[in-house]
Amino acid sequence: MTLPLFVLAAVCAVNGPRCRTVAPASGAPGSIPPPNLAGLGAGLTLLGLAPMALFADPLLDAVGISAATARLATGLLLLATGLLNFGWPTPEPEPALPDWRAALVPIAFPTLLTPGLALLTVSASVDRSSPTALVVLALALATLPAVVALPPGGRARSRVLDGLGRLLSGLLVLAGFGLLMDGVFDI
Amino acid sequence: MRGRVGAGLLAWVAGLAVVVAAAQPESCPTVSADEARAAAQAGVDWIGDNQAADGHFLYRYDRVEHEVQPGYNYVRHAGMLLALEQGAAAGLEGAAETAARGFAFVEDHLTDLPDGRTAFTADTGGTGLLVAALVEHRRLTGDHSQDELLTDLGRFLETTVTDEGAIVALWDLAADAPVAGTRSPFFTGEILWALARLHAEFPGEGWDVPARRVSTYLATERDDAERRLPPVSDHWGAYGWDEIAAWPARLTEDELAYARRQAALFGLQVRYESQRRASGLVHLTRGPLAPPAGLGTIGEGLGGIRRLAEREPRLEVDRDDVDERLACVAGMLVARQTQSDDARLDGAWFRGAVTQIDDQQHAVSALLAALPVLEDP
Repeated sequence: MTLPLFVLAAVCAVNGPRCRTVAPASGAPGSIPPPNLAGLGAGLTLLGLAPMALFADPLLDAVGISAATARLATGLLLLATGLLNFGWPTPEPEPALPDWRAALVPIAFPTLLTPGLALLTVSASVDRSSPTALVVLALALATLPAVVALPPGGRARSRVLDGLGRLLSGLLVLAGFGLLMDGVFDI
Repeated sequence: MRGRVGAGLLAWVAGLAVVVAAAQPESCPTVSADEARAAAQAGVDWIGDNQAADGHFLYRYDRVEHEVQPGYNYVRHAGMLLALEQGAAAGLEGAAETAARGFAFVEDHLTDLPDGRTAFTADTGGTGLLVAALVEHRRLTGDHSQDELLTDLGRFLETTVTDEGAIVALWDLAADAPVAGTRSPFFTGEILWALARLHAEFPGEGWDVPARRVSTYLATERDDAERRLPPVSDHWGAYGWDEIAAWPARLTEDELAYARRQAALFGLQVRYESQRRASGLVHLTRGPLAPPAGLGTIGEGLGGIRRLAEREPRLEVDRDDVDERLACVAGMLVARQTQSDDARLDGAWFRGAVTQIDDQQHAVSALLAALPVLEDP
């Protein structure tokens, strides 16, 4: 897995513009600002992915799957995810756990901690090393709080972000296909 | 919120289902070099024990019906000679003697053609493999008594190469003419290797010219002209490029790129095959085990790529991965070999109820190709 392909897949799998609406809007005075909640959710997600990155090699050894086959499966999963996201509308805001726990549900789970991102973490850790994988994932996850932190805009901005989210979903299809082929044509 | 969490859980279940469908555990039995050598020896013993008095091999045997099935294939006879000569070179007992009896059968089936050409039956690939086997014998023994025959066979092979480098698969021996339009996915690589070996043995005679013409065609045109899908898994080509690199000669970028694609194809097939099981759910999702001959050819191909990668640093393959896949092939072959008190069964590799001569041929060759990996783990 080349580094550019991994970065593209990670950014598209997180898809900050598409997920921005799951961060609860700012409510009562003193409540946690949405960018902070999104950042905390991204951090929790990274924390959840860290063991997968650190133990990726023994994990694949334990299940008897080669790096190339894991990459192939990752590509297939991301391709399917990208197709679904592309055809699905942007998620609507919905109830969250109170206060900081909103970072846990719905931001970290089920929004960010998806099977595609988890498998990408494992595959990239084996292919590129765990530290590299975690750094790239941290940067990709940071796109969510970055998008949430944008100052409020009108419907036009919302449409632009929706379009960007769809574009990233389309790119996820391409990245998934790239990983799939990379896995197929490895030795 | 519950609905969203439920949807998230459902996504994980669906995701895991995709992963399970795409990535089954790969089972590669670990074998030592001694075990692989013993398996190859048992395969050679099966061939010798079941060889007829006139030198032809037991072609096909059904272990359920306990009967020899009809039919014979001369290309595979020559291929078997090659595997035996490889076995002799590796020090397997009885391989040279069995090969000698097999060669006596060949001598009765040679056809002399005008212009000092000789063919081993109408399927041109048979002549190619016969040349490969005779060269193997020549290198091991230093015996030059068949040099004239080798040259005559080579001259015939040269006439099977078309202007663009394709190989005529069928030759009308009575009319001494090519059967127009006949092609074979394997004969191209077989004859490439044979011509390459002839150049290695007789460097001044110009065999390199048709060899490189075939090689260029194979790497750049063959798949488009003859068969795009499924891609040809060309273990003979791998033998051929290794031979050319050993002349020594510099392979073109096209040839190296094709060899790299072949390596990937071999690797993919090993990974897929190692996911297969003889029974259970995986048997349904991955299909039945590959014929032993097919599995053996993958090992031979990887062996050729491995040797080529040692000679040619411009070949971009991960040699550790190549070694790992080759060892996996050896492990699967050892695990799948039949052990029995019955000489018709012991040492053979069966595809269901039946074993065929090429099952032993390719399995033995693959095990021998894996020995350098297993001896230096």
